[in-house]
Amino acid sequence: MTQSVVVQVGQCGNQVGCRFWDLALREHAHVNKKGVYDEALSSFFRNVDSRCVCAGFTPSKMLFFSPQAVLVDMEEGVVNEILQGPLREVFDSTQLLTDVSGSGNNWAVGHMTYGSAYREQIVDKLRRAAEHCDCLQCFFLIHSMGGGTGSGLGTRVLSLLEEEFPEVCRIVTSVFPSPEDDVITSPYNSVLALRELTEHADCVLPVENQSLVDIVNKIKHMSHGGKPASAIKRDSAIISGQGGLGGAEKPFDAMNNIVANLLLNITSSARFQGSLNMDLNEIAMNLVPFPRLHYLVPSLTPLYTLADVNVPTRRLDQMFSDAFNKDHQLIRADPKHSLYLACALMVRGNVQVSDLRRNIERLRPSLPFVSWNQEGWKTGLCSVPPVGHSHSLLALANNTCVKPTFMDLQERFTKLYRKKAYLHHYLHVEGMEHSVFSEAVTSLSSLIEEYNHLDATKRRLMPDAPRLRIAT
Amino acid sequence: MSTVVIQVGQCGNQLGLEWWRLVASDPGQSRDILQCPFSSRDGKLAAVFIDSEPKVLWDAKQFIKNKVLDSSIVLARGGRGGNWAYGYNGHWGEENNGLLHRAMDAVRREAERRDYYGGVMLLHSLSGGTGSGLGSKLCEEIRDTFPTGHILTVSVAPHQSGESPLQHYNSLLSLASIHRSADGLLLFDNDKAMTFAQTLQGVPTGSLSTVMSMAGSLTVMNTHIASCMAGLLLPVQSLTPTSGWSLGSEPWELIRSVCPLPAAKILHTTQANSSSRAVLAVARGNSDNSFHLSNALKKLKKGHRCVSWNPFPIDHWTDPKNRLGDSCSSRLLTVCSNHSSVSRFLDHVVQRSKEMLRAGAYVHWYQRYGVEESDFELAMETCSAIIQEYGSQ
Repeated sequence: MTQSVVVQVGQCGNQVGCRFWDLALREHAHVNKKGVYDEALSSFFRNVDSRCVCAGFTPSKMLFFSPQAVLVDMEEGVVNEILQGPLREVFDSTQLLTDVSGSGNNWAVGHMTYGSAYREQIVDKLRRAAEHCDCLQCFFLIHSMGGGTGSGLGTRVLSLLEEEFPEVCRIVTSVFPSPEDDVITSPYNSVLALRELTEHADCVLPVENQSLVDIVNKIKHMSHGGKPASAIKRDSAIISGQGGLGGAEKPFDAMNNIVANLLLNITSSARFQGSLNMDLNEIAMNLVPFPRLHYLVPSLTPLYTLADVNVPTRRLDQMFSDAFNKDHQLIRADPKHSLYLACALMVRGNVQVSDLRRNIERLRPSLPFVSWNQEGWKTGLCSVPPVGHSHSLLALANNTCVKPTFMDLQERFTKLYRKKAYLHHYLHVEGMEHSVFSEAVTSLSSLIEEYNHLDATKRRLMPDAPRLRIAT
Repeated sequence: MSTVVIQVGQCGNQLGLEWWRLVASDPGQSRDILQCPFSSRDGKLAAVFIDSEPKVLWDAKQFIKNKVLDSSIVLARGGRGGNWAYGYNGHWGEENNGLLHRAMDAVRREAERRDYYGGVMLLHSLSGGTGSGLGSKLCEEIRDTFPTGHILTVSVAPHQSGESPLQHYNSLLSLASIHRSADGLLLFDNDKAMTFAQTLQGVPTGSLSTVMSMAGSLTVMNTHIASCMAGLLLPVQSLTPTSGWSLGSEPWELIRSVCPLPAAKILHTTQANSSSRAVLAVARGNSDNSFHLSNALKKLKKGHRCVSWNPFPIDHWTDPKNRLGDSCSSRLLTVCSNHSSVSRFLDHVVQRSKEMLRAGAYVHWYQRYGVEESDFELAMETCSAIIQEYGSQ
């Protein structure tokens, strides 16, 4: 079995990461009733304690397993909170790297100042985590784009990963800022970070805060409003952390749980058995036809399971249709009106290959695929469903609909850059120059241009309307 | 028996496990002959299981525990990413401990255990990474190591609506490579197998069908393919010498019957309305010798529109018992033919690969593992030559 290491950087990265480990423990406790260290656990956890067989297995008994993780933050608040919470015994100090003063929402401070100062320590901790793994296949990096540490130091860590472990796949989960973000310099931070992601990541799963808020609101509306017959099954909602170790629910937990579920579903086929196994290296190899265009739009279904237990086949087909519905996407985009380069469907639970093929045949006509990849579907079937559901589907679409998100970012960046607003904060940092900004903008423009080029081929797909003939 | 059965990759192993379940644990077999026609005297199956990730074979640990030698199970970790180049060339700097070397060791060992080595039967898919890439490499190595042995592959083609974005590249490269090194290719199709599976579900006639109607659709598809293979390749009385001990040379006789030309080796087990070079019909359950007297052979000849230059286009074998059925009077007819409808499939693969190459899609992943555009061109030339050969008659 192959192993993965999770590297969580910055406040957002660590909060999401904390939810991920909690939900991962919950999922493995659910599947592995005996508490014996098995191959599925080995993909994310290391066995540190030999006395691990215990009856009446609960997540708290999973504390004998140590997560393969590195936690980095330049201010102590979040990491300290983790260390005081119920997951305190799970992490040990060699996995943590903290500083006191934070990055001040400044990409340059995170990337250059802290990046250089802590380079040796970061590489050391990464090496140690990698050495514990028999067969390391993938690094998962979790961070946000709008801040200073996650964005700056996070992308520095990404380039270190490429340097030190070039053969290991790098999958990055990036939380993009919404237009109404409260950090004024988030456009600078995001564009500077985006350049690093385009150059150094193997694939990126962009997530937008606004979409997460919309999903949370939709579920809450469903559970509070709605008809009596449509009560949601307890702890089945994608935002719920029930059954895990965490104590009282904290403010962003619901949103972070969604991202944590995304990571669990992506790795499900690599951890558990199924009829069509799909490993992590297959994600990049099958969904990324051109090295720079590696932004995959994630969408998760179902968001919740109704308490009413009838599950006719119609529900299964509904799950597939929902995956292509805008409400279930984790970024705001319109894939149905843009061009698909490739699409992966990762199904969990008791679903047959025939159901999968039937739904692909059904949905194909309405989804515009690029002309040279009309059969660009990658399918994976894992037999273990997530906690609280009987089956679930994760769709990862490499689609040109991310272009508007990038164009939006470019516009917000240009508005500030034109006026040279806040620029002095960045230029004061050692190693930072105007050229870094201009290179980042050039990279973003050429990325948008590549997507434009592909979109242009879509217009050629549309046949000309037949001309009217006048009867003579 | 003379065959070593090698199963490579996820599809190959899933199919292979269904094949062994069908052939090796059938309770209807008589006790006085060997337990299974494909095992050796010590009861171990003549099989080599190869995969680049262990999950498929874990599922079947119970089943294979006592039946297969430990040295015949060759596993690695991490998979081959659904990339032919990765399967064919392996990791960077992979030396003697590599998957390929261990696999060849296991094959050599298994071949040496045979009383009489006739050749190998390789089960794999065309569209993945391990089955298609490592499978192609194994074919070449086996051809080099055992030049007089035969190689019959059972190749599974992917769903046409899209199973993997790399399926065209992988199918192209593996078909070109295997057509060069193997003696015969039994081509099966996921789409046809699925259609068969869907029509069968809910039709309980006989033990085989009942099992199939209750299992998941992947199992049904694999069982269907396995039963086609079994229909052709289990021992038949026509080829068993009078001593009663079968040499197990059915696969090689099949190749000799149905592959008259080295330039056209792709075989189907379904009937179609194209022109056939050669046909083999295997009739099981023929205890009353009715097959010769029936109209079946005449109908086959007419339906297949055989080529004019083959004086005996239809070969047939018969066996009084049907091992795959449950009652003594059940009959089974399996037909294997070498006909030109395969050029449609090949043409589709070549066209789609050309389009993707022109757009430059995914090429960097193949280059990373040592396959350049020139290799694609070579493979396209080989496949175009095969299409031309089939089209010329």
